[in-house]
Amino acid sequence: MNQTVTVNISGLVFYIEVNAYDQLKKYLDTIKLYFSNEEGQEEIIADIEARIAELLKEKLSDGQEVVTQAHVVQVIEVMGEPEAYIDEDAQPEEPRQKTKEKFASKKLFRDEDDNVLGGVCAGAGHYFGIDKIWFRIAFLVAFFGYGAGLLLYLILWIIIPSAKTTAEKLEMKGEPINVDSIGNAIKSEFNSFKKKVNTNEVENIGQRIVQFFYQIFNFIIKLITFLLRFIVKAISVILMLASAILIISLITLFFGGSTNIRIHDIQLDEIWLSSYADVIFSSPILYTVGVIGISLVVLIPVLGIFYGSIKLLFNFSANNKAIGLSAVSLLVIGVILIFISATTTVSEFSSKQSFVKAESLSSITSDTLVLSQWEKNNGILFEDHQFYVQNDSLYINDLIVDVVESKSDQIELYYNFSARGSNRKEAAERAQKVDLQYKVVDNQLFIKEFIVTSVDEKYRNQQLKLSIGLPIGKSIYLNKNAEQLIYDIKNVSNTYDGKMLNHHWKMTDKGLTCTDCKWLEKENQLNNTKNTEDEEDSFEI
Amino acid sequence: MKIENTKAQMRKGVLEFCILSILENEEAYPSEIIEKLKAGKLIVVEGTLYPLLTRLKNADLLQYRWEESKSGPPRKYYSLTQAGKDFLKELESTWEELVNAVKLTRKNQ
Repeated sequence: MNQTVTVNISGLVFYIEVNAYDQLKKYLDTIKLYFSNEEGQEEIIADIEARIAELLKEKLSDGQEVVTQAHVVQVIEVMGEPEAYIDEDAQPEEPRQKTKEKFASKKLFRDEDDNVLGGVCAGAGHYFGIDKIWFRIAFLVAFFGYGAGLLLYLILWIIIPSAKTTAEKLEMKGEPINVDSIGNAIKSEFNSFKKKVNTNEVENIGQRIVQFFYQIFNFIIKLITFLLRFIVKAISVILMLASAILIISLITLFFGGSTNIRIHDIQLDEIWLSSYADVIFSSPILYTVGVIGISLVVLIPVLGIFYGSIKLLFNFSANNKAIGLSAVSLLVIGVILIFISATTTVSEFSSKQSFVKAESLSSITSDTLVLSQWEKNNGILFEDHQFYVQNDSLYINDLIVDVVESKSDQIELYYNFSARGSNRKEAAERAQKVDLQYKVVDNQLFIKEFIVTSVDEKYRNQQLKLSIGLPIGKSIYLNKNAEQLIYDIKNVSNTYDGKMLNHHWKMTDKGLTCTDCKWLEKENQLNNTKNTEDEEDSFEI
Repeated sequence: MKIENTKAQMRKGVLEFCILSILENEEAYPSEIIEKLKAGKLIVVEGTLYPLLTRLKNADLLQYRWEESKSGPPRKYYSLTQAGKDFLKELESTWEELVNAVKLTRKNQ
């Protein structure tokens, strides 16, 4: 016993078994789906239904009342599955794709219409909706990691299918598959195909191999061009930023500093180029000339780099001869200005003269003289500076202190001032105007690290080599803070300056001898034992 | 390149030509057309015909009229339009050319 249902096919009524009905309905649905994108779909379905009704009517003409599954199978055989239809389209598999992927979701394909190598990156770009360039960059970068990028690329090239049919190409881009989109796609495909035909569509295998190498060559060229472009862009960005920073800092250095040119009351934050300049250059004009010259020579090339990098970055070509010409002439002017400023200034350093004097420290009667530094740097931190200006005085850090045997039986100071000038007389006069800052308290000698002269004397490499004359039999104690003062003091044990600090040194007829250096005694002992013992045992930890 | 594709392409072109030829002198309804096509082994399944007829009609090459049928639903009787007749003539000359071309090339082999 079978259940039947009543159906109306094309205006005729049939009794049909349920399973037969299911099969028939499925068949008709398949056909509907198959022609879903076809113009005149309803008409085709109606015609087919009419024919089915006609066929069923014929089958039932021998007195049967009910349509069975056997009837339906026969009818379907006559009508045929839609796959068996001779299709309008060139590729029979395409309409099937159409029905399957009607609600198009994106699929990963290789895009061989937009390829550098295999179109993997372009395909991935379509799939992820990102510009393909990022994938290309990523693969390039990965390529340098032991060729991992290349390997990965080759694997992807092999496993990802290329989008061949129009439907696949639409699927790749995630566009809906319908008559319109396919029509558009085919049009654009036809255009690119035409181009391909014009350039390199070849048939036989020999030509294909040639074309393959041509493509590889082409790819390498593309790759190199791409890399070069990328590098150029990157460099231009770096250059632009660097030159911009340089320009700003140079402008503040040269011109921001020049406003302080007459300020001598130095605070820490005002120690700047201009205050140095004032004591180096013989006149402010010369200084300004020098600054302008240096600014031109440094700024013009930097500005040129800045201009060039912007040109590179934004691809505009404004070949203005006037800009180049004026840049070059400004550069030449800058060089001339520097030359004038420099030669004039350097000429003021051309001659060197010394001035020697001696002084007795008769007030010190003690057997031991203590050498200390007096008030470190006047309370201002100028350790890194060669000189500084304060209250119309120029303080110069160019003092070295030595200890020698006194020429009398008193403690004496032997000064050796030196300075430079444009001639001997000027240099000699300048050397005489330098003073040592020191004081004596009881048996202590305090010396300042900076020698002093008038600011009007300018900085002309003023130096003082001070020798403390110590009579034989007297001692000197070098305080720890005298480290900056002393320089290469000769002594019998050849102890270097740093180690001489915090110790007593006695002047003997052989020279300075340490009286409280324990390590020296140890060394002496060690030397003695070394001489007596075997070398193997002399190793000490 | 699929062989099935080429066959289908050839048959498709010929099929349209044949349908138009069948309708050249007399109107016919699908079942009659199918009978003749089947006799010539041009189609295997009847379903092929219906989309083709619709397309030809939509291309204004065919027209139809309804006629009642005793054995089923009303039938569409197809006939050629003037455009259809012109197109058929073109196809005929093209066919001649093709046949000649095939003959020539095959003789050469």
